[in-house]
Amino acid sequence: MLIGVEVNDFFEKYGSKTGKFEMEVEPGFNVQKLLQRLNIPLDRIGFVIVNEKRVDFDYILSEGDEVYILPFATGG
Amino acid sequence: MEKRYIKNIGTLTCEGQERMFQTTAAVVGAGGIGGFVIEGLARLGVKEIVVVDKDVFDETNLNRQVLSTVNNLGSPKVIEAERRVKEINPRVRFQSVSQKACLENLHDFLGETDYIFDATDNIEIRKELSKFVQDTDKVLIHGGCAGWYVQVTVITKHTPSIERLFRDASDQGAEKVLGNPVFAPMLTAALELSEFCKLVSGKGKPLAGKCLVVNLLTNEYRVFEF
Repeated sequence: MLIGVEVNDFFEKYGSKTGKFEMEVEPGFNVQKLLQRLNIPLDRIGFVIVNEKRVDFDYILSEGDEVYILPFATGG
Repeated sequence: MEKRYIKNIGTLTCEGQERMFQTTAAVVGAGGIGGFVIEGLARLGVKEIVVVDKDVFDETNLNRQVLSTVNNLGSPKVIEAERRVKEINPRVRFQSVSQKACLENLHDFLGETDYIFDATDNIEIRKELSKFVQDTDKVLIHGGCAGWYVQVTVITKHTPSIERLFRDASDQGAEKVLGNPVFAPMLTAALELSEFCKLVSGKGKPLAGKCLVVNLLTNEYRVFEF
């Protein structure tokens, strides 16, 4: 099944794939597996947004989901 | 209406400005975001500003903290904040709290406030502020920044807590890598202040239960639910 993915440019420095692209993933594929496939370190993740809602790492992706991955901005 | 507020009118109504005169706001953290928020609150003309911060200015603050200067390094941030507020708008009352905020002491100095600005730099105190406003029916305006990125939301007893926003995350914001040039806290404060004005004047759609994230590298503003 096809999903839309957008990875914030911040993750470039970890060798992660960034930018906006489509991905083919198998049914039952969850967010944690997506992050691992994209080479994004889990301990640097802030928000994973799917269809404009915050989700957890165990969220199971569905056909047509639009995923946006970005870091926290928690400085002051 | 005093002349000093004329340029607020149109965005704020006269009634909204009058409500501003009756509003007490607290700013927890008088650093990057907090300095700009305090400056903004003084110019907006709130009744009283409560500022909570136990730190003194040091040289690393000079790149972004508007209240810091080469002449006040070593001085308590709350003292410099009060000096600035009195220079801008002597009518605004000022209460300084030179303590580290924690759940046990929030009632002591935030009990009389209507709105609380999160201008801190760590997730743990944010969780405590969120619990406090949800227990006491106040409003928390959360903001954070990291280089090119900003996030802002509003927490009330009717929204999810800030723990729902951060969940099990460690304290690993992008600012640890990117730092914070001056525009990051400046923009965060501007967004927090505009949320405040929306809430006080009853205009627009406040970010209650929704988080705004800004990416200045790609010129994008997005909103998501949490």
